[in-house]
Amino acid sequence: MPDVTILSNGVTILGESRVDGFGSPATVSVCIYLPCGVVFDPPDQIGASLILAELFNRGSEGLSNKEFRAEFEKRGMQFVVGGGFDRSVIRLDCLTSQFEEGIRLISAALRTPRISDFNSVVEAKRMLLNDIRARDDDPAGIAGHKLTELFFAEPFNRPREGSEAGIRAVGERELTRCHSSALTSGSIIISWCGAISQDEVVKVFDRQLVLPKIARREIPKCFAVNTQDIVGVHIAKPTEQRSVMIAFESASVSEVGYYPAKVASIVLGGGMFARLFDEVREKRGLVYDISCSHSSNRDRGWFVVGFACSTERFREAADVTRAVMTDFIPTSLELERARRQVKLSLAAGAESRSSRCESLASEWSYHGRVRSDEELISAVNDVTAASIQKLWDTYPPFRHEVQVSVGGEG
Amino acid sequence: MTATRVPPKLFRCPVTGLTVIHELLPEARTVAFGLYVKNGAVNETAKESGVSHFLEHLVFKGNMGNGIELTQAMADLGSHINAYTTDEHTSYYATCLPEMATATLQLLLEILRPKFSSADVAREREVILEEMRQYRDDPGFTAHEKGLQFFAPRHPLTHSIIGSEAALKKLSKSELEAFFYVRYRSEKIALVLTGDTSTLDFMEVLRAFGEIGGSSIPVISEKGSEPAMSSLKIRRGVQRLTKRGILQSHLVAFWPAVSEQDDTKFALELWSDIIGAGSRFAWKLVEPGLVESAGLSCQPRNSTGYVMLSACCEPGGMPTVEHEIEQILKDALSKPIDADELEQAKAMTEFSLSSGFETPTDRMTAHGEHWLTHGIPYPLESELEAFRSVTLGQVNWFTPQFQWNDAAITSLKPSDS
Repeated sequence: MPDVTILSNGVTILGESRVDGFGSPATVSVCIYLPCGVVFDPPDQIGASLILAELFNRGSEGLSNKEFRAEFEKRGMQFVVGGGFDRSVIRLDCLTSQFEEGIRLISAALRTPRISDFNSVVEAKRMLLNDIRARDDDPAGIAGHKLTELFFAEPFNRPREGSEAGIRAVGERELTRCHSSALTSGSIIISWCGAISQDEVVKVFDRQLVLPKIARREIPKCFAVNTQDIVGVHIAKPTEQRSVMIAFESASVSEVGYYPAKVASIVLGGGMFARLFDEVREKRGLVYDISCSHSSNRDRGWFVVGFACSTERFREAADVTRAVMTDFIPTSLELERARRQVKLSLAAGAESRSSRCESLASEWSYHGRVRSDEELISAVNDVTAASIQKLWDTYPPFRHEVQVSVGGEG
Repeated sequence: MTATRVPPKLFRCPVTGLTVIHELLPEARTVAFGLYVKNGAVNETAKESGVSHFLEHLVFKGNMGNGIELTQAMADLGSHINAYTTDEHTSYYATCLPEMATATLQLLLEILRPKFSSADVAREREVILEEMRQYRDDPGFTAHEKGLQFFAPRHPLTHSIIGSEAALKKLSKSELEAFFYVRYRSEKIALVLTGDTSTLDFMEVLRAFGEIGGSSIPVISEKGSEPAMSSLKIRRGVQRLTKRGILQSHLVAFWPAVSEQDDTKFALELWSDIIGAGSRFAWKLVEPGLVESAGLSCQPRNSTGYVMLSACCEPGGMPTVEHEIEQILKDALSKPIDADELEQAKAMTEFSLSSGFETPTDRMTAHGEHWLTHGIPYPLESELEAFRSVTLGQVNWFTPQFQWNDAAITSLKPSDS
């Protein structure tokens, strides 16, 4: 289990020491979660948080973009920043000997991003607008974007990439406001994994990331998902395949149906042996791939099913998918496979420092603690066909569904 | 803090004839297995286009008398299995918990004894046709495939991995079987095992599996399945293509370059990092937001190789992007790569290679792919040393070889832009 320290300003630091990565050099991976994402942006400037995240990647008061990147690269440090929905994530992977220098550089960028530098802001905006255009060339990307818009209520229905109008509208004043909110110390989570100790990590952040104490920034509540009977949208695009995504509500992380939903998603869509893959692809050859996943925030949970196939086979693929999901009762063998698959993914995830580092931050963010492997295995072992049936009774598949398809007509 | 490790063992299994690479990592929590087959799209004739990839799908079927039993049996163990095909090889790989290692290996080897049925062939053909449509809906994929074919027409390296629709529709069960028995001979295959294999007696599993193939193998000539990988006969120039319904424009360019066996590839990899998205492209193209993405990569292959450039931007910006790329390459002649740029590229490469060799699955992949062209497991230390010893003269030697006028350029833009 990780060591956890809450600094006096409210920043949470948690991590695990790994001395030897099978003979590889002493390295450390660090994740910094900032409360900075599109759900916090003003409705007319959706994307402000993404511009700020991009600026964290572009230097600090004392260092230009080029000088800033050179400082990382000459030390062989990998540094990335990603803006997102309800958080921005900063990742650093480096030799342990370079750890403090990496954190010093990142801290400077976090405290003094180049918000007043006109060129930096214009370039950051251009990059984000390019990302939106790239998404709109990807049928699955378009379907996912529209599904989010129709399924969730404001602000959770916002585009993860920001809106074109919103990005264009953002000015220095909004970036400054966004910046002070992003450094709400009580909401910052720092996780690490590698050849270093918690004491050393805490000391480095105490020295380098000096922030005032600001109480936790609450993520807006997700009050509603789609409540209409069925919402269906087709977006015409001259593609060979029709891509479809369907979402319907299910158990959230705070409900008893959470683990049954997770196990159901593994049995239905967890790989080459999964029920949907077997019925739709292996037995009928209708698709190349089909996915089924369960996601949740603190308030709501949902399933998303997605596949792509040629227009003339779309109806059959959709009908089979619906029948499999609706009539789903897992066999004892399928449940046992899911349990074993969970054990393997936990073991494999623990072998990679960067993967473990990310899961620590994610666990803390969603659960307020880190669940042990034993706890997870036990929770998955407790899932039965009856508990999945109960979940299906509470949240019947495709009730209040939203379906988006992209592609040719027919 | 670095522990002394036992280097991986390499030997030929006397029973199966397979090359075996074994690396014991007692502190690992998983075991990774890989079968690396020296067979990919380069080994196909036009009539056989896509057969390697088709086989990669088919060998999962029928191994145990029922079309889907192999993946299901793997799932019963909680083990993960998957596969991929490239231009030069096919890989099948599995990951499992140590206590499932024996059973997982037994199942993975079943891939080498498939039992094709006409029904499986017909069904899997439909799946691959869907996969093909998916790729054709991806403009980046289309630009790459058309660009490579424009660069070196009819060279085996430009063969489509997924194949041609016409060939795919004609391939019969007997042709697939014949190709399999020619291309999946034990001398063309390595089995790689890494991780906590302390309770696995893999030699016993291999003995029990027995000979690969056997007397029932049809005797077929390999004629037509071994294209000569001579130097690339390349084309220079520009082709402009259009596609309906896309918003972004795509640009790809190719130049002939060094092979996997050529020691200058280390200098070329650093050259492409410095000129490409890691540095000069980044500052002129990516960071100013002129492109959505841009990259330059060194692609060494068995006995040949190429350098590939790719960029994606809004259609109106393409002339500027092309001009900037031409200028970056030209400027590299008058402003050669300097010592700081080279040291940065070396530091990034060293960290990336070391940290990418962390898990049993990482190591299995590195050993398997290295064996395909070098016949030995991945020697991390000597590869790092090779990068460290690259000089400024060696990297700058490449700049005149990769100028815009010498490239085979393909652009793909929206037809209605």
